[in-house]
Amino acid sequence: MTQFSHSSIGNTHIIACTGGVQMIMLVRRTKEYFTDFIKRAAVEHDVKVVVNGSFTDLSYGAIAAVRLGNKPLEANESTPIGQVIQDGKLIAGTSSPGKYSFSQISGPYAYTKTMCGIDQFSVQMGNGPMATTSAIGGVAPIIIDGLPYGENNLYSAGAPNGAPPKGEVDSKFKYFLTQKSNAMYSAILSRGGAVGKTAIGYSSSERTLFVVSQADGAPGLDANGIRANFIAKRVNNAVFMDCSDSATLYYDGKFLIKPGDDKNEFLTVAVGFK
Amino acid sequence: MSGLIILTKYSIPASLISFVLFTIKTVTSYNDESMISYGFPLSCYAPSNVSSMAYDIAIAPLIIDMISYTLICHFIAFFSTPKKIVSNRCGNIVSVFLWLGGLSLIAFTATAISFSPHFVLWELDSYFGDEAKRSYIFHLGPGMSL
Repeated sequence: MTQFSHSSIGNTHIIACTGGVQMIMLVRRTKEYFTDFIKRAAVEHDVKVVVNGSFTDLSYGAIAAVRLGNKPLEANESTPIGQVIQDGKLIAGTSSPGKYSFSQISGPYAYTKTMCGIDQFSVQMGNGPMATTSAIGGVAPIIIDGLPYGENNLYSAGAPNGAPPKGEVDSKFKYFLTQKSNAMYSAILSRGGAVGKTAIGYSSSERTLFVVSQADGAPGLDANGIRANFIAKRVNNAVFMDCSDSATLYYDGKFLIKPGDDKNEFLTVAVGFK
Repeated sequence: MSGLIILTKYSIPASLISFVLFTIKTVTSYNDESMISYGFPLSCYAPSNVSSMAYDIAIAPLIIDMISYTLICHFIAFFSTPKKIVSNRCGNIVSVFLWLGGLSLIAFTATAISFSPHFVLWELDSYFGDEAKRSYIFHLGPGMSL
């Protein structure tokens, strides 16, 4: 039985999930507002927490419909960026090899693990592995296997000369790497504390999944602040979802954060936890 | 005097149309990471890595681009427009269509890149720095991801 507890740091909501938490990908298939879809799907799948998921692209026609109207788009008019996998099947989205994915590891062995409450969440570059319970791609890294991400590559003392300040790191420098650079992380950081954010992080040692969300326009933690909070909670894998006014948080039957009006018309992918 | 008339009747609306329909897509890459931006001669807007359908807009390059397009269009219009049609009915009709087309395209583009826009003065890609590789590709149509 999963336990959920809600706390906050200023405008930043933090929900801690312990005890065999299960991640479920929720994909809107009908013409309805994103918030209406989340309310319905939360009941249907019996999930306690739901946040927004993938980045989403629109065609020219859909852009005009969203900007000039106020009705929800048909689900097939939105294109989620990054693969969305549920029960080992691709259920939505496009491949996004240059970005990252967050997955609940499974495969035949891990299905058993998850059933036993030994949940394992991980982040990797590229699409999530198909042999997972669930995975979402196209997201930005915060921490991967304990290595924090940031604006620049940082190295410990004694690193050989020539270590790259950004980008890929050769194996001879990897031992000294204490922070890895990432453009998506850097972009979120550059928007400061007031930009909306949704992040998910998992602490293997504490067996706790943290869902963090902050409304757009409300002063709060910047990307480094979110990362520091995760590190303090011994989180070893964490990602940012679609941020800014896409940030959405539904908890225990009500919305703590709603997306912007336009986003509410076209977002399609949400991530639920139960 | 005819230069000013050509500017207002043809060059400015033609520059608005050209700005939307003909641009340069710049792919800036640094090892495994890259970003796409649009604009000529300087990149002035780019899809954001922060949020769906969000754009970063660089104000100074945008102004420089608009001035450049206007100068190029005016140079072409000034030397190619027959003086006798500037003030006749046919010339007026062409001007009206150019203005309608230009304003419509600019309005659409402005609408499309106004999903939670983020304005910067100069640089769209400061993360990548001077060492990044840049490739330039002619791009037809509004610079958007789909």
